[in-house]
Amino acid sequence: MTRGGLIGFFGLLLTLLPLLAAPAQVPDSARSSRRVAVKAARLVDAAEGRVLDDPVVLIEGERITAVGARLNVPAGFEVVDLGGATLLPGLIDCHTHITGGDPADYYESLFRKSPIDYAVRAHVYARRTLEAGFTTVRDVGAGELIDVALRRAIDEGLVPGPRMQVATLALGSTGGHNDLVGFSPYLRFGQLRGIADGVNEIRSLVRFEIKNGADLIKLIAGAGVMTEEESAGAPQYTEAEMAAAVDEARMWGKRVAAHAHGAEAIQRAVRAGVASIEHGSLIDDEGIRLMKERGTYLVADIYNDDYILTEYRRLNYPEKILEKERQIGRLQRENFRKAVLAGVKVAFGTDAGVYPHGWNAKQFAHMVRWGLTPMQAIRAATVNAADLMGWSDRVGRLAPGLYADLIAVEGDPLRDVTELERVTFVMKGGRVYKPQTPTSAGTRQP
Amino acid sequence: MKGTTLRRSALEPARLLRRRLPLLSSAALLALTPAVASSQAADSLQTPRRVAVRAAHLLDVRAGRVVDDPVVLIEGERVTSVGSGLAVPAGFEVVDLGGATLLPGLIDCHTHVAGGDPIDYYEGLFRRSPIDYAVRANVYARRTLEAGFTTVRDVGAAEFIDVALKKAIDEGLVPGPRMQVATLAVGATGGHNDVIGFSPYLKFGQFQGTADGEADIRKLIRLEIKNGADVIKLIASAGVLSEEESVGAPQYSEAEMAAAVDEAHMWGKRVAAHAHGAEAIQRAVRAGVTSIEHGTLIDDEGLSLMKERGTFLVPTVYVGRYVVAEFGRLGYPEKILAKARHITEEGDEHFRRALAAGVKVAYGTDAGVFPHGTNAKQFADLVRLGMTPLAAIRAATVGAAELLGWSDRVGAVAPGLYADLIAVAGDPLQDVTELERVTFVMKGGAVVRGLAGSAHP
Repeated sequence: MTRGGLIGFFGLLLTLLPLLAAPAQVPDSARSSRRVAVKAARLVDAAEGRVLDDPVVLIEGERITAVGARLNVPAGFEVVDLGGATLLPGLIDCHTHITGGDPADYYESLFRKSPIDYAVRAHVYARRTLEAGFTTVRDVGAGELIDVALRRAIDEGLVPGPRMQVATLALGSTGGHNDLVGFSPYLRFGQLRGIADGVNEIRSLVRFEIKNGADLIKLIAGAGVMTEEESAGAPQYTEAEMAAAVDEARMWGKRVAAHAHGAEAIQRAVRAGVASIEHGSLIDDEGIRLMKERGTYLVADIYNDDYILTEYRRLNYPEKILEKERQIGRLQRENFRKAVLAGVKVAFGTDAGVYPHGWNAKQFAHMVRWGLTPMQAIRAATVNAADLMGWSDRVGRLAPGLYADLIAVEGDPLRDVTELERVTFVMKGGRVYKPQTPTSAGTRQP
Repeated sequence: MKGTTLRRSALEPARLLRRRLPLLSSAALLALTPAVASSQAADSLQTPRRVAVRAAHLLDVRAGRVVDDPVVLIEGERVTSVGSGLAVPAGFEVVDLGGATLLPGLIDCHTHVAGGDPIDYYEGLFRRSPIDYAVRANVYARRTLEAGFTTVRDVGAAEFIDVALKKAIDEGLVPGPRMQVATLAVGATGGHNDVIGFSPYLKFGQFQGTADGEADIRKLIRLEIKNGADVIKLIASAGVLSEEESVGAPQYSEAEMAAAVDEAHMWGKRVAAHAHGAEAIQRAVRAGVTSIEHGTLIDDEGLSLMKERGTFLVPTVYVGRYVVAEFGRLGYPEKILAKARHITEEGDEHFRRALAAGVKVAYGTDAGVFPHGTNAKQFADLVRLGMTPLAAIRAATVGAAELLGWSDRVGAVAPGLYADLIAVAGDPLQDVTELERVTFVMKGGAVVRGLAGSAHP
């Protein structure tokens, strides 16, 4: 069966199975009173780095109330028995662009699709992300505040999708990675733009984004791959400008994620106090030292190079952009290993949207190949990701008081981390969004 | 509550099919469901699927009769053959709907899918952005389709959301009905289409479907058509859900309306005229519009003109009562509620007169002013006001297709047309509310609703 066929299949089940989420139609009272006990063969406790056998997770409404081995199921709890499956907390991707859709032809995307087109389609990718087991994302940049609208529709229960922290327009300099120029200088886009230069404009844009719904600020500290500037890594803000962005974000209680490939841009951003370095491709020893010292997270998207190099020529991306990817793709993976070995904190983030949404888990195998154990990779996508987002009290672990965001896989993800590419069950906030399929459930029954 | 009803009835045919079709495998069912699959799946379908749909009865809307033991043969997205007791050729998958009655997919000629469901007045106007509406549009497109409306004429949307939605549906990415879209509509400054009447200093940074004078009207129509409009929606009179005082007064001169129609015809497009008042209706009909939408206060002169010109009436006779009952709760100003009460009281009698005069009627509801997916509720009102169930169903199929200029693709179950089919459990000619409980929906040969339950034994 094709991947698309599978998605269609689960889409159908979503509309028809009574156990499943019924967005916007389940009264709040019914939701809060629901009590469910989820049983499985194993539970990966990434916080403690251990595996729990015969776990039972008790859930009331949208939160977990108890977790333990062979817990008694109290009266009034509906039992969801996942048989021989392994339970994990819902996964977290700290670097997505859900509203940008899937990769598409370069010129079509830039010049034919409007923000309205992207908005109309955004729900498709939100659902794929959730059904792939990613119950939370940090979405780091979207046109026209589409991310805020999507988050609101998801939170209302109207559209199935992950919990979202959103960065809205991002914040970049004129001519930089966030500035859609480099085509005809006479071209005008009649849209909101995340462009600011100088301390005053930067503060003003941060304020605008937060008032319009940004949960975090995405700072474009250096050049990027998918845009028309020559460099892939040169700094695009002064350290004073970056410090102003971080200071302003903090005034509103928000964190800053810095897009930075180059060594100098990384150092400036870390010294300015950002919470995470995104990509981090060309990080040097000084950058690593600074990140360790400050506790800055590295969010390195080390899967998508494969996809870009095989698919983007077909999508008519200019040679200049493909060449930039060739320059940094391999180095990014080598430098990721260096940073990991040095002990830099790592959170899972993939740049989903650069490759198709729903494939987010493909990056686990690369993280294991480039220096992490499977347990560490899972921790990066759960406990660490939640810590980076400031959401440790709600997601990233299976523990009392946290949201009942759970996934299951058939095999042992600690032996074969690609099991996470084959998630068989997804629950978010106590509601099942992807049920165990009948066939696989049958094979698992003892 | 509405949703619960929909889901429950969705499971009915599943049970039915498990009894009658024990051999239909999950794989076969999946093969029938590309409408809800992604575009990748649609691309991977190479040979056209061949399906035979059977049921106990088929309402032949063109001939106005019931065919017993019908078999509909479908190749790819089109019907190839229809008949009673037809032999099913080798290589056709059989979908047996048992005792159900088949009909062509229904058509609603007056929807606003992109506007979502009714919500609080101020929230809708001042908190939601076009982006919010665009993000949510898929929900209402799907509900409309699952309710059995496989085609809609969507007569007005902000910011070209309707064009974007139609494109996503046609690509197979989003489940929804076939759409003809009107984009921004065309209305006069201060009229029903002009969101003013609040603080005069308020500015909306969006496209406005507002034009005055023949030149500006032509220019706006050119902009709309280049950006994807299939039909032009002309606001000929005042309306209910806007801040102007009148509900029916004309808002364009006849010369302006004639210019709009002439311009639309230059591009091969038809004009649907929103008109409540008698004078506005007369002007629009004389200007040559294809349909009068609402037509609430139509007089004898208007009726005789419409008959003479063959103009369609799209009477939205259900929505008024919903507005009167629900919109106070949603914070709509008393001025608007009073207009709604007036229209609702007057509308029934005027529609009876239109029926008596014999004007052509096409089914259109103003869905979005009431919740999407309940489009079929208007059938009962049409019958209460004097239409036969058959005439009401013809208005939503063969009549609507004629109004859309799509008689060669939808509106009947006939060879060459799209395989857009629905089924109901009972007899819709005896109880037209059966259409509120559609148990099976197929669009373009793909099952949208009614079979999937059996994939989960």
